[in-house]
Amino acid sequence: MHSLASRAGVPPRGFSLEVSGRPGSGRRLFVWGLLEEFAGEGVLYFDLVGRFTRYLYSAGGEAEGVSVVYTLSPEEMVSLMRGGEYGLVVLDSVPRLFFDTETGYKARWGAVAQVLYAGLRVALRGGRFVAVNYRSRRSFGETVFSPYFTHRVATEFKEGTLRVAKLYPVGGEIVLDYTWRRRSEL
Amino acid sequence: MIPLLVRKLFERPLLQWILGLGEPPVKRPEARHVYLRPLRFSTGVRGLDGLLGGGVEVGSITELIGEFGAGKTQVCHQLAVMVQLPRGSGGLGARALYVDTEGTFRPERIVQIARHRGLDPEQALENIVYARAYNSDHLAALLRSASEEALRRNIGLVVVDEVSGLPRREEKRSERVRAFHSVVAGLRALAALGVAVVASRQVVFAGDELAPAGGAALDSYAHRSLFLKKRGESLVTVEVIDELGLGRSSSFYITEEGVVDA
Repeated sequence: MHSLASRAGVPPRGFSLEVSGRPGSGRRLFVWGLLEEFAGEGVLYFDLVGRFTRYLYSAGGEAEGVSVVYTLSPEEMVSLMRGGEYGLVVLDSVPRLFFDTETGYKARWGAVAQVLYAGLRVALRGGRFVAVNYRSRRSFGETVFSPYFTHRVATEFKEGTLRVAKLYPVGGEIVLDYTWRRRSEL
Repeated sequence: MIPLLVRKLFERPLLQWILGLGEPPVKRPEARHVYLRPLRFSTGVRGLDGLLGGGVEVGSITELIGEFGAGKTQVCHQLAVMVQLPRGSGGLGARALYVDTEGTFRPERIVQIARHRGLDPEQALENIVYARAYNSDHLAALLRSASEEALRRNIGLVVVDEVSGLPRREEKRSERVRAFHSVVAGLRALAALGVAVVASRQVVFAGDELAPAGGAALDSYAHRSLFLKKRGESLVTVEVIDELGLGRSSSFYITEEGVVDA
């Protein structure tokens, strides 16, 4: 049976993946599915949104091997990513990091780029980095941030079906029945 | 001259209090264990409560998304009453702070809903602290002062009806970003205090579909997101669009008595 990661077209190790979509597109369902696959190797989750924490508690509490961090300081995030060996690092999400960081307009772009670059370095060292992003016609900050991703996918959710469109480096689509998410447990 | 360290120590609220220099630090107990044993109050609609895991969660931001006339303001009015009910009756026995950015607050609706829920209408109105916001700076300032109000005046619910319009009016992009930052920071600070925060949000056309207004700036700022769609004269369907209940839906009627089960 193929893993979710391989179906989405990412290699087993060494990738920096952007998962983008509109609100209600099931972006996080896909990311949480990936997380299940790599939880055994240690996960660092930057939950700037607060939904993953609620999800964990609704599923019965903390998950083994998953560290959830709430910091909004890009410097701390970079330092955590550099300092540890994780099977997977998740940034949730790019827009929240951009808009919630307390700094000037131009510096916000730099702050996000700094974190994404640290994520790319995780990938270059053979780790895995996933960032949740917003998408309307294009993903948020696409021109500036896309160079930091080795792979990019977009999600869409309709009538219980999660569709994951591969955007880069190769196209394609995978279709997931939503029931896979409800069956699984962290 | 007082050394810097001593001055820093004196700035701390706890030390000031011990020395009789200031007010005691206040913390709502709910805020600390909000994830472990979430406290909720009922919306008054079983279907809506079901979508939210039992009601509106204290310590969280819940957003109501929908086009004009979809029933967002009606739900906001109802919640401002429901929060006042005693704990045993599905409420929090607390007051509401209602921040109105569009001038759509109607005291007469509060009176109707309160009567239907068995509350004294006059008392129900008195228990709602009303504020009208006229621009994004004003809104951000109101939210900052709301934190103090919440602790001082037993505010259990803060409603912001509507959240995206004022920041979007800022002309410069950098100003819009700053405005959205201030508003979201204010809402999150209130939620962190252990207050239930409910905000409504308009929609815009994105291609041929309706999408929440505010785009990336308000993307995932709320913990729970409900999308409201009008399906007839008074019937509204609600769909969960956050990942904690994605795809689940329910419906309600808007009646003279307020929002009721379909």
